[in-house]
Amino acid sequence: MTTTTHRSTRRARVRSVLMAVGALASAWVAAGAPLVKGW
Amino acid sequence: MVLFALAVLGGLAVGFLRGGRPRQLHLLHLRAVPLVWAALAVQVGLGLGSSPPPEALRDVVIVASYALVGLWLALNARCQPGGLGAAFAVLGLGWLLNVVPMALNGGMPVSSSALRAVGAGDEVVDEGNLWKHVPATAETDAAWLGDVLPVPPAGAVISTGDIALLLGAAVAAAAALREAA
Repeated sequence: MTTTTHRSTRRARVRSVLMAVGALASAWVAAGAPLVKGW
Repeated sequence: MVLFALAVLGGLAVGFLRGGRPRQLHLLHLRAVPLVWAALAVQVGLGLGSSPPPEALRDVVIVASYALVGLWLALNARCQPGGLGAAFAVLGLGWLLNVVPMALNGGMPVSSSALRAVGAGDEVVDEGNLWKHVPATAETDAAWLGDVLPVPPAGAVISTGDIALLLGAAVAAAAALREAA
């Protein structure tokens, strides 16, 4: 039970981080995104 | 994305150095994320064509997209705790500093001298990323808020608003570790 809880917490952590990074990256491209290859 | 990645990594490094840890990152929840995905999707959809879209369509899409991003930033600035809320306020400032020159000039003005400084003097500005840039001229309003800052190592020309967006992303990364610690 403990191992299962630990695994599900880790999966939730990864999901949260990916969602947050993806959202921030999307905001960067949508609201910023400088010209030329640096975007 | 190089600049964005560097900002996030820098924020994470600061977060770790200040005692933050990823232990409880599963508690991190950004609100209304579909808003910003929709904002990106409409801009990317606009940018998929090989030729410029009709100007009226481009204007509607860009305005709607920026409104969605602004709404997302405002929602999260209000409801995220402590440092994360502050990060979204900084992101919101960056958004506003980019919206102003775009609204005044029908697109983000880009400095030709800044382009030359990063070795992109031949770049056709109004065929740039997502069709939202215009060349800066003597008649450009609030040109100083446009893409006038060359970043040669990244091959990019950025604006003051972009700097605030990058700073906000860094603060968000650092705050996420600290809020969860």
